[in-house]
Amino acid sequence: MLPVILVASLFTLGSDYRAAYQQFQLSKNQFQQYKTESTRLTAVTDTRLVLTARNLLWKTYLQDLRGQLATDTNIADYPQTTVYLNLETELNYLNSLNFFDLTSLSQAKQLSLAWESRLYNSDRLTASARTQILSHRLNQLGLRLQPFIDQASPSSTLDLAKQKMAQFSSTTDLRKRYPLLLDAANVLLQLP
Amino acid sequence: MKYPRFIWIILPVLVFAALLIFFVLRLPQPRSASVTASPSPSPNSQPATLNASPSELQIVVNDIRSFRLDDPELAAPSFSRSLDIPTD
Repeated sequence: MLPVILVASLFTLGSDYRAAYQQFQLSKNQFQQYKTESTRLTAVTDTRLVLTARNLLWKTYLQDLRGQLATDTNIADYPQTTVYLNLETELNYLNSLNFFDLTSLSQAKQLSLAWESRLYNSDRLTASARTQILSHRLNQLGLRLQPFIDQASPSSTLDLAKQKMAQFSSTTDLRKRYPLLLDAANVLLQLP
Repeated sequence: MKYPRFIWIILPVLVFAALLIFFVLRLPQPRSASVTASPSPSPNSQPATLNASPSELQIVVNDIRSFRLDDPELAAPSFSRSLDIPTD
């Protein structure tokens, strides 16, 4: 149930961001066209709003990943703890930002560039978190399948399933591990 | 109208019987006891969870098949990575 709520929350925030982004584009175009104080102030306000919406969207996504890492995986594991702590650091940065004090477009631009410059590392961090969550889920599925292998009667088909499971356990690449587990499961289904 | 004397004996009996039937019908129906014959356990019998392996294995296999590496629940939201804010 929790992931569903989180996805719903992200979906709503995504809609809010898109609305803010459209308004920002409109204000920006009007400011660039008319260059009046009125259009400048509107552009500053809408830039503030889109920066806030974008920050909140990304922050919520990182919080969701951090939550799933904490609940789904073994946080005592060192690489996972590192990713968890790096997510914490990134979230602290995003929480420390204050867009409401921005009074000029130049200030907003500077802050936006600083925010965007962190995205590369932030993306890598989220990729690591996703990999660890998916890897844990695969391991859980493998653990559920293992008893059926252990209890099956010896046969060449079972040997094939065992071979697939051994490869699954020794491989680290998720894209290779999943087909191996699936193959082992399908082979097991063929046992009498 | 004058009733025969025995009606005063029959009437309470009938009322009591009607009440009895009424309350008995309102009692919860007992569940039908189904008896399933099971073979006597042999010394090499598997644990109960594994005796039902075909269906349980199928459940695990289905879960594995529904696993997705590109789980949409984990997908990053899309947004502009360069807002291109104009200067004042």
